[in-house]
Amino acid sequence: MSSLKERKVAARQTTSSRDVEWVPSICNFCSTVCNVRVGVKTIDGKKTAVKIEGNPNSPLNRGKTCARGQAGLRQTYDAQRLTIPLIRVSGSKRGEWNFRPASWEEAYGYVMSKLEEHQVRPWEMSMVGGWTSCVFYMPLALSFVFSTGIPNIVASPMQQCVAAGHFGNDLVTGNFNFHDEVLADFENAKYILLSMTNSGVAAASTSRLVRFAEAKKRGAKVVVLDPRLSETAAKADEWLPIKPGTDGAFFLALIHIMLRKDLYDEEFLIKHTNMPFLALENQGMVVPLMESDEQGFPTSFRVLDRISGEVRQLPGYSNTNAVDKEGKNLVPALEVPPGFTLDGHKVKTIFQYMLEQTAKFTPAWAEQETGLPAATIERIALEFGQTRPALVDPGWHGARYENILNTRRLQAVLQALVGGFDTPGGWLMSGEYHEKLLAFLKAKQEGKEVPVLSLPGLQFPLTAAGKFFNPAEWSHGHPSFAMAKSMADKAEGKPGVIFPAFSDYGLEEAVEGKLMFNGEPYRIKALLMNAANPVRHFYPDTRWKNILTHPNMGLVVAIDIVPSDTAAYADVILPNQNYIERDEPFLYGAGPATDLALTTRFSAVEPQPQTKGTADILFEFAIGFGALDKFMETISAFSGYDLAEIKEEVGKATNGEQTFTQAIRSVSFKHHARNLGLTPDQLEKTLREKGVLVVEAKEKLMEHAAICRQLPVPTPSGRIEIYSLLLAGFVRQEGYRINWDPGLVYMPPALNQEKKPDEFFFTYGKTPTVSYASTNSNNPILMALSKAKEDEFMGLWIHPQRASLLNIMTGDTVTVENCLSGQKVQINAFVTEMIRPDTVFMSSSFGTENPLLKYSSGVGTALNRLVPYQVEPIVSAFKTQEFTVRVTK
Amino acid sequence: MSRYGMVIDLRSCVGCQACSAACALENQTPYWSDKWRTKVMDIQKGEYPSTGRYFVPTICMHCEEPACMTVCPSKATFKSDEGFVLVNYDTCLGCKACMAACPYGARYVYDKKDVAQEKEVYGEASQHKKVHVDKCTFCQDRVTRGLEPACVSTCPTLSRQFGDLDDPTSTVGKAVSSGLAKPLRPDLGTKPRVYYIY
Repeated sequence: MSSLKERKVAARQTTSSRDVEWVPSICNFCSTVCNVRVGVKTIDGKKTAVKIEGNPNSPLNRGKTCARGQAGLRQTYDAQRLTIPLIRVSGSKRGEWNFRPASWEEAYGYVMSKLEEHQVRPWEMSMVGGWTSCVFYMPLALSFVFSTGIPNIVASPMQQCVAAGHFGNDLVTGNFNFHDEVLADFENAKYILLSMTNSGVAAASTSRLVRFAEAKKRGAKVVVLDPRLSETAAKADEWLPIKPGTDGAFFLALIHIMLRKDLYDEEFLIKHTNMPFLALENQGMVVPLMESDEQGFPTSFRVLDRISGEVRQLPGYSNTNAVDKEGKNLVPALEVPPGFTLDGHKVKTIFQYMLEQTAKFTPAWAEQETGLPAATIERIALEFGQTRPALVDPGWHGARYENILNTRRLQAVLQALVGGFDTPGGWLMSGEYHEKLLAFLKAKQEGKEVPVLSLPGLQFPLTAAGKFFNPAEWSHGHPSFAMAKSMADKAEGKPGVIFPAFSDYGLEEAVEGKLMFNGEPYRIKALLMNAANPVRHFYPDTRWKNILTHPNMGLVVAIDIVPSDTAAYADVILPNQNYIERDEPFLYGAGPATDLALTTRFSAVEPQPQTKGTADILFEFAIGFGALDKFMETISAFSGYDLAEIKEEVGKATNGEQTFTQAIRSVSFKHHARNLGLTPDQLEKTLREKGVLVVEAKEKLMEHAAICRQLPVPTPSGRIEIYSLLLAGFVRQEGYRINWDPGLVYMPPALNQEKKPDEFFFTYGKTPTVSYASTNSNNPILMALSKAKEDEFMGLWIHPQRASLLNIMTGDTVTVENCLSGQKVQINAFVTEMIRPDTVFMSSSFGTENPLLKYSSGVGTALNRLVPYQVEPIVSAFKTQEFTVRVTK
Repeated sequence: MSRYGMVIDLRSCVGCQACSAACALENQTPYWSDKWRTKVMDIQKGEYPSTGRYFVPTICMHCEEPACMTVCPSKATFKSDEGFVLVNYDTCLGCKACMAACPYGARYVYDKKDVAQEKEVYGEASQHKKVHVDKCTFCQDRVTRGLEPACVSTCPTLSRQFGDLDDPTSTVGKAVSSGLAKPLRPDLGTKPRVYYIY
């Protein structure tokens, strides 16, 4: 028998992270973009990633990372990784996995020959990007299409999430960032209200979750609106199982009460919003008294000064209403006396008009809409209005109903009523956003142009997407196919889509040859997809399968890491380095972190030898299209990078001395180092050591760059726009429609309320272990965690009362039929008290099809097999829950 | 010497399972057989609309009076200098007496299939080369390097805290001494070093 000591030594189990070298990176398993570090060591003679941890230096995720962040490293070693370029075996059909390995030269050559064979003109191509493409390669993707004349990008987060949700908030605040928008300051809020967002908090966005957890520990009151008891709702002090699609009615009732009981931040409304602006009613529309320049930008507004009793003129773009155009101080009145007239017109303040507009939105009315008791709604309004800081979470993921933009906008209006922007416990703008805003305001003052990618908030999408909509921006005179479709709609008297930014609207028609522009068919014949999985991300799957397999589709190229469901429909597959393997071509801001910070990825392990970075692939295509010079010039113009430096570094890449990724990375380091007063080597060393460099802490930024208090926001007026000038512009341009009413309105969801016993409202949401419609489900650890909760994660949630009527028990396979479209899916039932009896729920995370996805293929049911193609008319947001379903055993 | 222990705050746990994933990767637990050293129970109670949903992480309690140790015929289960309840893989007979004795269900068998699978996944870096009854080590290998256990280190809700229970200034010390954090089933007399705030 050995001694006790020996036994103990023998028992010492090592851990994976022992003796590792930590390499900083950024998680790629969802768009929260957490800062992580990858532990690597040599195993079997090969440098191997063995553990991931949250980066403790991160102001974003504070050293934490979720199950996906932890398990993500296994993607690198997925046995089915795409490791060599693949070309479809001739004679095989798209959708079949029938490829032959090829060299990169052969793959590029094949692409060029197919483009030639099908005589693809620039506007007859479209890029298709996933969120990875959007977050990390926006400068390249935009520069690529503008230098090659391709006016089309379809980006998967837009109609599902960014345009279809955040844009509603943004109409009020002027904000807009890629993906993460604002950070809700949960940890300093005392009252937190959440609506339609399991994904953004508990299921799981780590940057928000670490802050939400602090709120829970501190005992902040949490109220969650959700038809089912989600992970987030489980943490609520009050779970309000609202009738699906009626959250807007709940918010309007809150606004109704808060305006009437003076439960708003009066000083904030007077100084920083357009509530005191004088307006009049014209043909039933409320119109502010304002003047504008030739481009339509406001140059003055009018208010009634409470002190002098005079009507004064305010500047057109400003953060404050406390100083008039002549520089004199004033205190604008929120209300003018009854019978007040100006130049013979009956005039009131926006505030007064909003009182009138909200008169009908009483708690009793909201009870009828939402199914929640009027007394509860009234109590929540009083609690929210009387507690400071009170916070309504801006929400994550949108889509769902035609009213989504209105609902998300109402959330921002509620936040405005409590004055919570860039204040503790309020909506905090990111460090990067503040930096862009400061630079933009400085340039504006000096009359200088700002590079497109440095435009703050809404200025960016309005400018960038605006280029795609304007035929004059393109030498061939074609706007995006989505805008062409919208124009064709309008010509036929249909509403079309006002702002189809990076949308798939009209793509199917363009492929089928049914879309006309200037009397000619506007065709799409080729798709270049980067980190995109539209067969799962878009609605419905059959539409994209038709697009991809249509005989008119001449070429489909997919850049990807794993054999996604969509990659199976490609003609050419170009294998990409994954996030653990690659050096990124750029430095990035730290997502929605409130500190101004810089971060990037460092290659932790050797990439698979035949894989390439996206920058290299796009450069090769630019060279193939004869657009290299223009590509470099556009990168410089959009990013503000030095053109000579780009040319020098890219020159070395064309000579084969380095990769194009290295070339752009080098330029990016030089650019940022110069701005920081460092050498590129110093910057590189710091980032390699820490992963994140905090350039200016939040506290410092708040001293000089807080929105509203110090800086105007990127709305047309610079104020928080409770009355939306942008929407008012839509009314002028398109005529009135409730969707773009600039005031406060309610849009009920278009749902059959008189349902039969087997008919239900339909809802979906996210699980913490797999991202939305993602290929990251093909992960052995995440799939093991998911399968252990198969009922909750993969089942159709149905209430026992209704389930027993239909003789359905947990585990039974049931058929769910869309009552609007007839689409049918099969799914196992999960009978639970955690959902409204009139509603069913399923997760959006499962149901992949490609058999090569060994762990996830065939597991669970795909959401997009049940959802038809329905979009709303502002941004073509998907109406993914605007139908009822029939459930049968 | 520190008396290490863990406090699990149920108020903030959302059941995201980052802990399970971190542990699986750090300690090479057999996720392929759905065996975990730490898991999060998802407990649903009550009738709509008063339904409650509770997330309860489970893990070895590292008892000061471990029932599993008392019954181990080969003395393979022992307490380390840090007070962690560990298993000597070399001397474990795989008799499962400890599994029957543990009132918290914290142990599982790392069987032949698991050993083979681990070798396939991790190659020469595999940590479990023999069949044995496995359990949480409180990440002794990390703690002795001055780090927190993997599950604590990654927990996005800060639900898990680790430290010296005897240190009145530590988060865990404060939570336990104030009575805020309580052990599970103290009546069993095992004196757990894992406490819960609920």
